[in-house]
Amino acid sequence: MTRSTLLVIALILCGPLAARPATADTDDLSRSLVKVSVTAQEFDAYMPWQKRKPHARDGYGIAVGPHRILTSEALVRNGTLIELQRPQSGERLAAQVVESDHQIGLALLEVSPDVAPFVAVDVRPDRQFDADTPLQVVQLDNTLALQTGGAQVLSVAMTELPSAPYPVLLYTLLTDIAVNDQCTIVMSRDRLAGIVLQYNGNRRTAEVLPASVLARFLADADAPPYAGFAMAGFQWRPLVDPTRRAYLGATETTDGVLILACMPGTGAAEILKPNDVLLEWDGHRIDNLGYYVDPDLGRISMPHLIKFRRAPGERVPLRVIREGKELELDLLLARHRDTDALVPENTLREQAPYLIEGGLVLLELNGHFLRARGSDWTRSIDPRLAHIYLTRGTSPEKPGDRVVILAGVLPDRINQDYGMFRQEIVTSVNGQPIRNMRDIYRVIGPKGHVERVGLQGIGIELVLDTAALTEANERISRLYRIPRLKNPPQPLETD
Amino acid sequence: MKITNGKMWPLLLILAWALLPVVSVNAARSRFTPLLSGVIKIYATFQSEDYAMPWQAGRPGNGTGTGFVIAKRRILTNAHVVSNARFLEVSRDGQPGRYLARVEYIAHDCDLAALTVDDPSFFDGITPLELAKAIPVLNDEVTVLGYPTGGDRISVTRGVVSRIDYSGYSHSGVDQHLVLQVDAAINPGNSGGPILFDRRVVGLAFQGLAWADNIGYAIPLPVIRHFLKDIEDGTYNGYPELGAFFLPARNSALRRSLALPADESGVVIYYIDPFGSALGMLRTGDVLLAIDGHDIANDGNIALNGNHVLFAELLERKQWGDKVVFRVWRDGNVAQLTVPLINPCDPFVFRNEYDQRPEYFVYAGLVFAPLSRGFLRTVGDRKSDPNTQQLSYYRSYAKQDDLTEDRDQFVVLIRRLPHSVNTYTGDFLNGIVARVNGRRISTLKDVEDAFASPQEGYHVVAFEGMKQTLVLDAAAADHAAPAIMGRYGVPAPSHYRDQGKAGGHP
Repeated sequence: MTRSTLLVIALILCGPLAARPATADTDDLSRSLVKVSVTAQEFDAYMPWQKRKPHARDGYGIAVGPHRILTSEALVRNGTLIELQRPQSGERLAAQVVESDHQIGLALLEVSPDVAPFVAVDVRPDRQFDADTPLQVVQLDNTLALQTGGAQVLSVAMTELPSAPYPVLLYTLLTDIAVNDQCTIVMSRDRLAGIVLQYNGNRRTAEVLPASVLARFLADADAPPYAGFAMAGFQWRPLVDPTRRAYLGATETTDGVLILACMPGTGAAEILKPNDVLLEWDGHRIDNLGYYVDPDLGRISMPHLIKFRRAPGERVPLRVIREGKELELDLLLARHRDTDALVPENTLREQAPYLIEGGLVLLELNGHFLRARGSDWTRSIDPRLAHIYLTRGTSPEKPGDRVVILAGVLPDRINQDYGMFRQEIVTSVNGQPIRNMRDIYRVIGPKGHVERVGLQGIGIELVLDTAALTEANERISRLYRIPRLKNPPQPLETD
Repeated sequence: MKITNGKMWPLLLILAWALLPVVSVNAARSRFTPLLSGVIKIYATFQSEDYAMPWQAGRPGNGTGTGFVIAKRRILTNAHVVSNARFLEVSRDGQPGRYLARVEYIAHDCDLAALTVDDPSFFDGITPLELAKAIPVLNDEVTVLGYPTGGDRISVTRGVVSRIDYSGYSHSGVDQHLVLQVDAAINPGNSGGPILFDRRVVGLAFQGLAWADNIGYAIPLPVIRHFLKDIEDGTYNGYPELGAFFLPARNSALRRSLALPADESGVVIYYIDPFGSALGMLRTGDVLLAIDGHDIANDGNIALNGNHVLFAELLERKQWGDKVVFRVWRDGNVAQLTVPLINPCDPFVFRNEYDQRPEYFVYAGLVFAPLSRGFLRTVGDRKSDPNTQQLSYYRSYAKQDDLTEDRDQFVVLIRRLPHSVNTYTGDFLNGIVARVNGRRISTLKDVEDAFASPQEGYHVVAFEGMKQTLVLDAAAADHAAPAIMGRYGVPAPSHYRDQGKAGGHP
C-alpha cells in the first residue's frame, strides 16, 4: 500500500469526525469573521423600573467594512456590552450597534477606527442560489480556528423570524457540520450568501437570511436616515372556497386573496376595505393562496413582494375586486412601527412607559408583559387581556389607542384593599376618559397626581388620599426601591 | 402437664386486662350498632354526557358511595354520588340484598341529594340517624361512617373538626358554602356518609383535597338543613344569589369619597350581577352597613351567635323567595332596603351540568352548541388558538364586559363533520356565533331559525371577534345536510331543553 493511499484512507476515516480544514476560498475569512460575545440585559416586564439579570450570548459577525460588522439583531438585542474576537485571538474589541432592525433580524456593529481594519466580504448577491449552488457554512471551532462545511438549499420561503413576529425571506439549508452558534455565515465561493438565524440540530437544517436582504439592509444603513422595510397594513386570508368567491362576486378568476381588515392610519386603511379581493400587487398576479411568481425566486408568498421588492414611501398599483367590480388602486407603502398596534409586541423588551401612584402600577399592555409568563402564558394571564391581544392586538380603533392596565398594586396603606383589582383595564383617570398612557400624563399635568382610577366594568373608582399621596409615593419609592415613579411615553408632547 | 400457681396468676391477670376493654367496647357497640344500620352503601351506574359529540352519550361507568337514612324513609347522600345515574341500587351493611333506589330531590349547587327506596322492607330494622342541634366547634372529635375504597364493609374513622370555613363545592364548580374540615380519613366511597358528633349527624363527607394530608371536607349541618327545608314544599329551588360584589370599606380615601361617617362600618359594592337579587335594589357605590339588624364590620363580618362570620353566612340561611333587610349608606344618607331574594336562572355562571342532555344543532355538518362548562372541558388546553381562548374570555367576562347583552346563550360552532359542502370552514371552529343570515343569535334555537332564511342563496355566519364570515351555498348545504347526518351517525338534527327561565337553579 502506498503512502498516498494510506493518506486517503486516513482522510476518509477522519472526514465524518472532523470538519474539513478551511479551503483556499475561505482562508481569507480569518480577517473577516469574528466571534461576537454579548452581555444583554432586559427590562423587567412587570417592574419596568428595573432590569433583569444580565445574561451572555455568543455568535458570529462578518466584516462588511474595515470597521463594520454585520450580525443578527437577536444576538445583540439589549446588549450592555458587545465584544468581538478575531479567529485565534484572545483580544476582545468593544463594538457598538450602528443600526439594527428587528423586523428583518439584522444589526450593524462598529468598532473603533483605531482597531486594525477587517477585510470586508463581498455582499453583492451575485444571483439567487438554488439546490445546485455550492455553499459553505463557516464558523469557528473551540480553538477559534476557522471551520467550514458544505450546505445545500432545501427550500426558500417567507417565514416568521425566530426572534420576532415578522415574516422574512429565509432559505432552509441542509448542512453537513453542526452549526455551533448564532449567526454562522454562509458563503457562496468568495461572496457572502447569507447568515444563519436558527439551526435545528436534529434535522441539521439552518434557517438563513440571504444576501439579497443583507445587501439591502446595508445599503439602507449606509444612507441615513434608515428607511426600513415596508408593511402593507392589512390582514388577509387565502380565498380558495368557490362558494365564498361566488358570494363576493369574484368568479371571473380563481386568483386573489381576501382582505380582512386594515390597520388604522396606514395606506391600506385609506384605500382597501374588508372583503376586497386583492388580485394584483405592483403588477404581479396574486393567486388564491397568496403566492405570486417572483422573477428571481419563483413562486413565493405575497409578503415578500410587499417587504422586499419595494421600500417605504413608494406607491404601488393594486387591482382588487370590490362588490363584484374590478378596481385599480394606488397604495402608499409605509414602515410598520410596533407602536402602531393596540398592544405593541415590545419584542425588544424596552422600558415600557409606566406610572406608579400610591402604589398603583399603571402600564400599557404589551407583548413582553403577556409573554413574560412563559410559553403557556395564554393559560395563566387574565383571559380578557389575552383575548384583546389575540383578536385585536394589531388593530386599534383609532391610531394611538392602547390598553392601559392596573398591572400591579404595591401594597401600602394608601391602596388598602385595591389589590383585588390587579389586571383590570383602566378607563379613566381623575374622571377623564383615557385611551393610553399619554392621556394619563396629559390629564395629570406635569405636577399633578392620579387621584381616582376608573376600571372597565367596575362600578366604583379607586380613590387615593390626595393629602397623603406625596408622602405615600415617597414611602413606596423608598420601600420598594423604585428609582422613578414616572416614566412617561417619549416624546411626551406638551400641548 | 402441671401448671404451677405461680405461673397461672399472671396469665389470669393478662386475660382480665384483655377482657376488660372488650366488655367496655361491647357496651359502646351496643349504643353504636344501631347507628350503623342507618348507613347504607349506594351502587351507581352513571353515564356522563359527551359534549364533543352531544347527540350521543359517553361511556357508562360504575361507582359506589355512602348514604344515610334520616326520617321518613329518606336517604341523604351527595348529589355527585347519584348524578347522571342510569341505575341505582342500595344495600345495608351485612345484609345480602340490593334494592332499587331512586332520586327524589337533587341539589347540584350544594352537592346534596335525597333518595328513596320504593320497597318498604328495605327500611325494616333501620334506626334513622338524627341530625344534631348545632354544628360542632373546633377540636370536637367526630366519627366518619361510610364505605370507602379498600374493602366492602362499613368503615369507621375518627378525627377532629380542624376548620369551619367557606369553600368551593367542586360538584357544581362555581358555588361556595360553609364546609367542615376534618382530619379523619375521607376517601373515595366515603362520599355521602354521615359525620357524627355525640352520635348525631353534624355533616356529610363530600370531598377531599388533592396533594394535602388529612384534609377532608364535609357539608355541615346548616347546609343540610337548608336543603331539607327547601324540599319541604316538594321542589328544590336552590340558594338565592344576592349578586353584589364588594370590597371592605377600610380605605380612608374610599370612605371619604363616599362621605362615610367614621363610626359606620361595612362593605362597598363595586359590581351588581345582572342575574342577582340585588339588581335594581342595590347600586354600586352603596355601603352595606347592616344585614337583618347585624352590623357589618369593615372586613364584611358580622357577629352571629358569638362568632365572627362573613355576612354572607346570614344569606346562606335564607331560602329562595325570602327577604333580606340591609341598612345602606347611599348618597350621604342611611336607607333601609328590603331585598327579596328572587333571581332568574343564570345561564352565564357555567355550572357543571348533570342529568341533562346537552343542547346542539347540526346543519350541513356544522355542529352548534351553547357554551358550557362541559364543552370547555373538551377543548382543554388549546388556548393559544384565538377562537378557543375567546371562549375562556366569554366565560369569565360575560357579565362584567356586557357580553350577555341581548343574549341568553353563547352559541359556539363546536365541530365540523367534514363534507365537501363545509370544506373551507376550519377557521371558524370554536367561534362564538354573532349572526346567521343577518339575524342576531341569542339562543341556539335562533341559529336553526336563521338558517331557514338564506340570503340570496347563501348562508352567512358572522362570529364574534372574527373579521371574516362563514359562507355556505344554501342549496348545496340543504341538499347535503341529511347525508352528512347519516354518514356521521347523528340521529337527530337538534336537541333543545325547555327554556324555563324563572326560578332558582335547575
